[in-house]
Amino acid sequence: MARILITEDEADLRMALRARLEMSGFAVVEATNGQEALDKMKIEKPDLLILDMMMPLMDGMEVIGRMRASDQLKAVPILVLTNYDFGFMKEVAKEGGVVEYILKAGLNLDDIPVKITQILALPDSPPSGLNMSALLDELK
Amino acid sequence: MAKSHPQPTTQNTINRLRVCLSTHRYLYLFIAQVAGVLILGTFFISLLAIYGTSTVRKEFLDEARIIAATLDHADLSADLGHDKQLSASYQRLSDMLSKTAKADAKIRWSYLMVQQNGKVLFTVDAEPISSPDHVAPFSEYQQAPTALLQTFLSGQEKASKTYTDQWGTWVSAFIPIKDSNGQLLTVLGVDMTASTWSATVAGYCIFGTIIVCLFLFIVIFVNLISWRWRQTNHRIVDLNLTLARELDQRQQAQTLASINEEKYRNLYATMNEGVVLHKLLYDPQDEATDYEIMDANAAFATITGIKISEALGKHASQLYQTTPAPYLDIYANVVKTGIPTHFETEFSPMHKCFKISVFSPAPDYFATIFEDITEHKRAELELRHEKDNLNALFASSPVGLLLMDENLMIVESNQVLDDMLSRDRDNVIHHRAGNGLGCIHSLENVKGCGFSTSCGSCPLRQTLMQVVRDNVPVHRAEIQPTLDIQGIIQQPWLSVSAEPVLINGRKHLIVAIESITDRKQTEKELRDNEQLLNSIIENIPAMIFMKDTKNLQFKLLNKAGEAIFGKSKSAVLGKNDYDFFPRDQADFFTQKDREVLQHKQLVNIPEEPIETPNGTRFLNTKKIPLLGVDGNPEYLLGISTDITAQKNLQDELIRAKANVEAKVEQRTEELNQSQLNLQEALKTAKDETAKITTILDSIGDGVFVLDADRNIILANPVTLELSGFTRKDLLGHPYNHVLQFVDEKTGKDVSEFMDTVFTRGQVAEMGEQTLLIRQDGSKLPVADSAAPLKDLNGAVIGCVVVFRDATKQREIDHMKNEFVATASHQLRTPLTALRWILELLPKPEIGPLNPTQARYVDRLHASTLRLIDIVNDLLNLSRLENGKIDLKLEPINLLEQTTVVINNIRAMAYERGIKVECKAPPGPLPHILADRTHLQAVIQNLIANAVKYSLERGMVEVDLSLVGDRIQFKCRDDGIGIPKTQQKQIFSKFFRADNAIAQTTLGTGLGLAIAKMIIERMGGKIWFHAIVGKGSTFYFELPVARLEFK
Repeated sequence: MARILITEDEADLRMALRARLEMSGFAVVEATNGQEALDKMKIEKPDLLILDMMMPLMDGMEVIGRMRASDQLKAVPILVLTNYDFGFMKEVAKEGGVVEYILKAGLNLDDIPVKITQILALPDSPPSGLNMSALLDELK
Repeated sequence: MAKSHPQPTTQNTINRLRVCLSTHRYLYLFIAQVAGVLILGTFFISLLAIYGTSTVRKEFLDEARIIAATLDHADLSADLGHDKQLSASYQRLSDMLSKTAKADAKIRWSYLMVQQNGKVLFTVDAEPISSPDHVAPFSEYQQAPTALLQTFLSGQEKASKTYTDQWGTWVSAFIPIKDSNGQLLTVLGVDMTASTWSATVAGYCIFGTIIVCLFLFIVIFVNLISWRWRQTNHRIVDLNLTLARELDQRQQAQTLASINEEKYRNLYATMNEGVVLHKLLYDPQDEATDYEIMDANAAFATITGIKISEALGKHASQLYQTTPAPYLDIYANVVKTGIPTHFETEFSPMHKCFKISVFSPAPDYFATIFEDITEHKRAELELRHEKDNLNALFASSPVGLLLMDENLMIVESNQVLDDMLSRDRDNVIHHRAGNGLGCIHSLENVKGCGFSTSCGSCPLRQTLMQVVRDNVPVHRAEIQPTLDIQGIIQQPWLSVSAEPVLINGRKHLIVAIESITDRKQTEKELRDNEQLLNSIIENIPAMIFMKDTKNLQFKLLNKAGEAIFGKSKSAVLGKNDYDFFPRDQADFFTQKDREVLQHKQLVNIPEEPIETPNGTRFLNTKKIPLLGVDGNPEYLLGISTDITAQKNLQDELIRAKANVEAKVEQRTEELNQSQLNLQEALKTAKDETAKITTILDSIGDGVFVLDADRNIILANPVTLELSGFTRKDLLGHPYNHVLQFVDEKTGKDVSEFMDTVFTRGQVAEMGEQTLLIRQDGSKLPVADSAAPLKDLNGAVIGCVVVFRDATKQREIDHMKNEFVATASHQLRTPLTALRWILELLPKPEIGPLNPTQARYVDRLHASTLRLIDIVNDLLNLSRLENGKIDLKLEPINLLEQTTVVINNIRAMAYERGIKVECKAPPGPLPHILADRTHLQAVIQNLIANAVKYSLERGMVEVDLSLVGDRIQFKCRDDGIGIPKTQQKQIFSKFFRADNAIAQTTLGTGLGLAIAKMIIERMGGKIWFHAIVGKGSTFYFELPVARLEFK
């Protein structure tokens, strides 16, 4: 069964996500911030990363940048679930290889396992040869 | 005196021959006509036959093709079996062939064939095996017609000519049937018997044959009628000739008989002409001396007034009391020669005129038939008299005269006219008007007056034609024709009078022509003189006026007068002094005027003031009485000179002289004073400059000024401080060589915005993201504006640019945006938790909820969703209002977007039994230019509203159309509508119509406000129509993307 890493700083949301995904039979690993997510990914080797954008210590954008720079992690598909819809963020994240960028508040919990199944069914697509550091520079 | 003229036999023969020939000619003509109809008819029928053949062939082939199409290709490729045991495919094909062939009675047979080793083999036959005509599969078709072989060879369909084989005589259609690779599978043969074929083709010719027969019949009928008519005609002519001959003889016989018989009285009693029979009397020398009246009819008595009884037996000389008897010589001659004669005469004893015919019915006898033509003669005489009068008139008239007939042909002219136009009489008479008068435009050969058609507007022609047409005389029409007079083209003025007269019962014109060239010349000279005088009077600088003697009203006033009066001529003429001047002044003028008129003497008023709209004017006026022929004054002439200026000058001169010394003194003092003033002014100006400089220096913003050549001519310290340049770096240099303004995002130079200041003369502002590149290369966010400097004529001579450090402002903007994003994140996070947990609660895995709990959870969930919607809407709205949403316009297929939305909504609509339909014109609509996400939000909002506010089982109709260069989106529902009083607020924030709130508690009241903002930001328009209870229709329009991106 597919293994999902949930990166989410809000405990309530983590709890709800875990409950729902386990109902659909996914194995769930949790991380509360970006740094933890990167660490856990190396150990747990998840099939998919659910990533929040605004988190303490290391935010989602930084995680994306680091993953894309790492040979080991760059193939892991990312599903961004965030409430941070500052227009251009979505564009940048997508250029950084994020498969889906969804506003959490607008998403029915039941849709998440569906999305995950869809993403996992996609053929492996190598992330675009984009200069992430330039992208991140632009963000700052 | 009957003379028999023997008919020459040759003539007779010729006549007979002619009749004979004409009969033959008629026969030939008849044969030719019949032959013609037959030839043409045959040709026509042949054409029809050709047309029929080709049509029948085409239809036959079409039909065969249809039969071929019904055959199943799978069956065709399948094994057919053999003669003893035929396969199901064979059966199916055979059935199909027989079914289709039976459908048309014309088709006798259909079958399939293949060609193997150059032999044609039958494969499938429509005839069932039981039929004696059945042909076994793969038996050879030995008498295969050429067309069939050609079909196998070429693979082209073909209709055969008539051919005969062992089964009969046929016409066939051969259709090749090919598989999908174009490989020939088989050939379908469809037979029609030759007789059926001929009958069908003949069907096309029947109509033509009927027509030809009809024509033939008509030709025969017409010729028959014409022949009969000729026959009758011949007989009538013959009859007439015979009759005429017989009558001639009978008449002579009768005349002879009537001499001896009383019967002639009955014959002639009723005649209007007098008939008298005389016997000529001779003297012994056989000379006719007199004649005796033998008989006379009633008319004789009536005409001559002599009783018949008195006349009979009398000698003519006796009866008419003339010697010799009247017309004795003539009558004697008639008797002698036997040649009848007739003559007209005035018989003076009776004062009557007679027309007398004489013939001699028998030797020594002569009869006279006479009628009274006295009246006729009198009229003739009168006419002659009239003509004489006319001639006399023409001869004696002092003016040129013409007589014309109604075609404007000149019948007569007089010497005066000939002299006037210097024309020969021959060139005048018997010519048409224009030509006769020598008009250079006239053409003799044109019917009518003789003018060419180009002279339609010629006044002479029009005048004469008018007289002819209306029969009304014209008097003294003044006309100036262009005439050729003795070879010189002249334009004499002619006065033309014309009068219609009847001569001999025909309409004529008497035209009097008088040369008035001299008079016209004099008139013109007079007019010229008058004009000259008028112009002199008009333009003379002194006021000239004329008053009548009775009321002293103005009759004339010149330009100078108008100027002095300050009024126009039309306002002055016909009025008198009382209308313009105060009463006492008018009294004075009137008194003076009367004086002049009374004493018939010139009066000079050296100086009189008058009040005019231009102030008081002083006039020197001379008044002169103009005397009429009777020596009494007829008009009063006044000549006034405006001496106001002169007078003022004099006054001033006097005053000037008196003041000259005082003035000199004053001027000297003034001079001194002005020198002092100059010094003062210089000082003030210096102060002004200093003031401006001080102001500029103390302004907190950077200010610099450009001249017309865009060189910096002034820069304040803040400019230097912000830019890092020294005054020396800036002054005198084109500003864009030194100061660089660029766009924060693109890095492009934006200084061209200043060009608009110069070209349009308007204030311009830089974009919100402008940076100034400082002297050290660092970038400074600036906000600034530029205003034109204009000279007195409004021409742009320079430009002032004001800019300031906008670093802080940018930071605040950034923070604001950050705050909105963060706040929305902070609000959404707990809402998401609420939502998701509420979505988990009803799951069976969590544990069962009782129905009430489940309902509560559902309500909680709904409320949470609504709260999320409100937060999203508010956030969007705030961004839209602050212009913080960057719309990414791209070409979008509106139909596609609409379909996506409708599919999303369908479930919700289905729940409420509402049908959602989408209509669009056939063919692709052009793309619109819009932001995909936001457009989708608008469509979603409109359709969701329509569904939400529809009644159960309602209908929502979405309609897309191209309107000009925009695409219109229309969403119609038959729901609750919108109350009229609330329609104005429908796009306001947080507004929801009363009936909408009553319908459902859902809805933020922000959707339409957002939709309107989005559509307008994308350059579109949104509106609606709604009726309470009937439904609402919302529309928006967005511009079509100019370039279609693939």
